[in-house]
Amino acid sequence: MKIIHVITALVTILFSAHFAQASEKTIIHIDVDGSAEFDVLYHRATSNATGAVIAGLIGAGIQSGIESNQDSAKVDVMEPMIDKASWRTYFLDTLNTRLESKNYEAEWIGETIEPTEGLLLTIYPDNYGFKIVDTKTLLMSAFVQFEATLVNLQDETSRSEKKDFYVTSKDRRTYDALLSDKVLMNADLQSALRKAAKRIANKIIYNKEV
Amino acid sequence: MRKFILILLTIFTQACAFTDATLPVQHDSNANTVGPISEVEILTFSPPNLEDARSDKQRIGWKKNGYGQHTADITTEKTVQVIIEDAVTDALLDNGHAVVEDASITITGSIDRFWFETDMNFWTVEFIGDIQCTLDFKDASTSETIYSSVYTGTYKREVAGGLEATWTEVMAEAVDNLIEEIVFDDALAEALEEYRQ
Repeated sequence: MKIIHVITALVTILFSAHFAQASEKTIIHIDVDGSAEFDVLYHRATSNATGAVIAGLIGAGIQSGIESNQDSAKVDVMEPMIDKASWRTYFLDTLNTRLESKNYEAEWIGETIEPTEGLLLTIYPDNYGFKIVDTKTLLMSAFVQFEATLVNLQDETSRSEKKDFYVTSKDRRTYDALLSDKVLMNADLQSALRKAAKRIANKIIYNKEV
Repeated sequence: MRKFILILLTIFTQACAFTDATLPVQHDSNANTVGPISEVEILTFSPPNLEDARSDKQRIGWKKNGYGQHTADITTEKTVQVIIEDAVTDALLDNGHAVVEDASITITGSIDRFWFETDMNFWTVEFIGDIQCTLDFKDASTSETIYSSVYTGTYKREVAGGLEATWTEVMAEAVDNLIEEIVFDDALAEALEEYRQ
C-alpha cells in the first residue's frame, strides 16, 4: 500500500514538473507577409552609371534598363536550376527548429487567427538569389534579404520598427562555376537561408529583439 | 555671381572625388550582442592577433567618378586588424568570458576582406560593407586547434545619396554583423564547451 502511495506521489511530482516546464514556453506567433522573389544581381552590381554622366537621367534610365534586362536573362538561366521549396523549407524550418530548441513555441499565423498574447514575429520576404559581392574578381554569393518586426503583444509600448536583414553565404564563386554545378548552387542558397534564419532566431532568443 | 558660385561648387565637388576619405570605422561597443557562447562557463582568451590577408591592403574601397574610374582611396583611421580585434574582444567580454594575456585559449587568424562597395541604381545608390575573416581558436598550452571557421559580416543600405558619415555607418554595421555571426555560432559554442570539459 505504501509503495502505491510513493508511486502516486512520484507520478504527481513528475507530471507537475513537466507541466511547469511546458508552461514556461514562450509563445511566438510567426507571420510571413508576402513571398520571396528569386533575383540575380550581376550587371546591376557592376554598374558604373556611365549613362547618367553622358545623358543625365534619361541616360541613367536607359543604362539601368539594359542592366536589368541582362540580369533578367541570368535569372531565366538560374531560376529553373534552383529548388523552389528552398525558402520555405530551409528558412522557415530552420527558424522553427531553432526557436523550439530554446523553449519557444512557434505558432504559424493563418489568415483567420488574430493573436493576442506572446510575441509576434512578422517576416517580410524581399528577394533571394545570387549577387556579385566582389566587383574586382566578379565572385558571387548567395544572398537573402528580408525585413522583420518583433512585437510583445502584451506590452503596448513594444516597438514594431522594421529591421532589415541582408545575409550572404560564406562561399564565393564565379557565375560560371555556379552554373556548372546545380548541387553547389542550391547548397550555397540553402546555406544563406539557414544562416539568415539562425541569425533572426538567435537575436530573439538571446537578445529579445530582431 | 550665380555662374561664379556654380563654378566654385563644381570645382569643390570634383575636388572631393579626388581626395582620399579616411573613415573612423569602429564597432558599436554598446551593442552587447549575446549568443550561444554566453552559455559556456567562463573561459580565458588571449587578445586576438589577426593577420591582414586582404588582396588589397592599401584601401577598403574606391571613390569613383561617373565613368566608374577610381579617383581616390577610401581608408580607415584604425587598421582593419585593430577594428576587428577590438570588436572580437568586446564580443567575448559581453558574453561573460575574460580576455587576458595569460589565457587558456589563443585567437589567431586573418582578415580576408574588408571592402566597401557601391551599386548604382536609377534613383538610388546602395552602399555595401563586406567583411570576411578566419578565426582559429587554439589551446594555448598545446597549440591544438579547438575550432576554426570563416566568418562574414555584410551590410547594405539603399539611399538617395550619402557621403563619408554614411559610408562609416555602413562599415560599422558590417563589423557588428560579423560579430553577430561569431557570437551566434553554435558550433563554436559546442567546441568551447567540449574544450572546457
